[in-house]
Amino acid sequence: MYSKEIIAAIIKNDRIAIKGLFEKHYGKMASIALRYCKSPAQAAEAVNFGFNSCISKLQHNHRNAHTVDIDNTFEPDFIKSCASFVKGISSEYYVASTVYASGSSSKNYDLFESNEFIDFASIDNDVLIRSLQQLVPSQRLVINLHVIDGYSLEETANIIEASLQTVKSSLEKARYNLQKNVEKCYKTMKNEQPL
Amino acid sequence: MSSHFNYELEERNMRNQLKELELPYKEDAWTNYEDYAKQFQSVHKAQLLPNFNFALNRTVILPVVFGGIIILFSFLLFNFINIKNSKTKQEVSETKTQAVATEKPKPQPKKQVIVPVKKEETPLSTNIVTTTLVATPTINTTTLVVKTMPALQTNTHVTNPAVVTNAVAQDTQLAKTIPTYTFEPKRKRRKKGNAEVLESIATPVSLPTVTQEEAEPELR
Repeated sequence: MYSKEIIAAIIKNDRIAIKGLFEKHYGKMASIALRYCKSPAQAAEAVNFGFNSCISKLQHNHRNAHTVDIDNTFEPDFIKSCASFVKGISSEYYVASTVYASGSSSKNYDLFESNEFIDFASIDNDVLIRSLQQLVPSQRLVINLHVIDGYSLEETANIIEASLQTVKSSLEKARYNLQKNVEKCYKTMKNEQPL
Repeated sequence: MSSHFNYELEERNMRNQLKELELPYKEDAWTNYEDYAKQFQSVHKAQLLPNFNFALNRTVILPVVFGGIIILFSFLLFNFINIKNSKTKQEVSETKTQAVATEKPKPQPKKQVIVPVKKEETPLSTNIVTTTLVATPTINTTTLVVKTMPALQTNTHVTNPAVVTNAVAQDTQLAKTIPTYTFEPKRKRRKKGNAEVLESIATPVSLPTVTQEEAEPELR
């Protein structure tokens, strides 16, 4: 819980107070940005964008700032701003969304290849994040918002400014593609392992 | 998507894993953010003036353009159909300026000057009407009317001033206090018309006089 003095300092754009807030929330922000973006470099930009938008929102709503609990409101605000950042890169978002996402994976589909070796219950974090990053932006947003961050389908539709049907279809594709991406990642990891 | 697809990912575990995930803090991240924030602030400081967003759509432009055209056209028509002439306006303005220029101070009331008016005896009007009856056996009478116009003229011209002067003379006390103005009526100059003299018909000499009575024949 932040004291009123720290919040007042953040509102006054005090550098030390903002740095303290950044240090405290950086780990969380970076992990969120990593799974929302396609690469670590883009995630770093998303962290800057999201944190800056959260600070500016806090400064603009300074009348209610003393009553707001930053710990509870900071994460949802950052998630929303992160989603808007991803959606803001329209050259990636709209172009990639029109491409059939599972096209590349369906070509390599093997009927005799079984998934029994993969334990989906305990997937490594790196594998999960990498497989999420390989999704197209619209599917990545939907699966992050609905499955991981726990927003309902309606809320997800409102955040990404899409229809409910679009969100549902995107979610289906995202689940399928995520599993395929996880399998793919495990295979590559196996192949990369030295004999 | 194939119909044989079985979704085997456990979303609950995945959620818990990713929610608990936290990356270690790096100092580079803060410096990176500071650079970003400086750029952001510099962009925002440049825009000190408030932003006015005017949506210049065709819904705005077209009414404005048409309104302008209508106003210009109405001005044009107003100039053509000028109700008040410019000449009269100029004349009025000139007269006003002249009136202002030639405005003299108020004339002081004239001092009362009572002039004694001589009483003039009003000559009585003499209408001479001469009637001459000529007794004739056939034609009984002839009337001759002679109008004396000069006499009438003198009568009318003299009577009016006489009345005014009489009133002034009687109210001498009032005349001292209240200024009196004597208005002399304009004398109409009429041409002196001489009385037309009609020639009387000469009586025939052979006619018998009244005195010469015929002797009545005696009745038998």
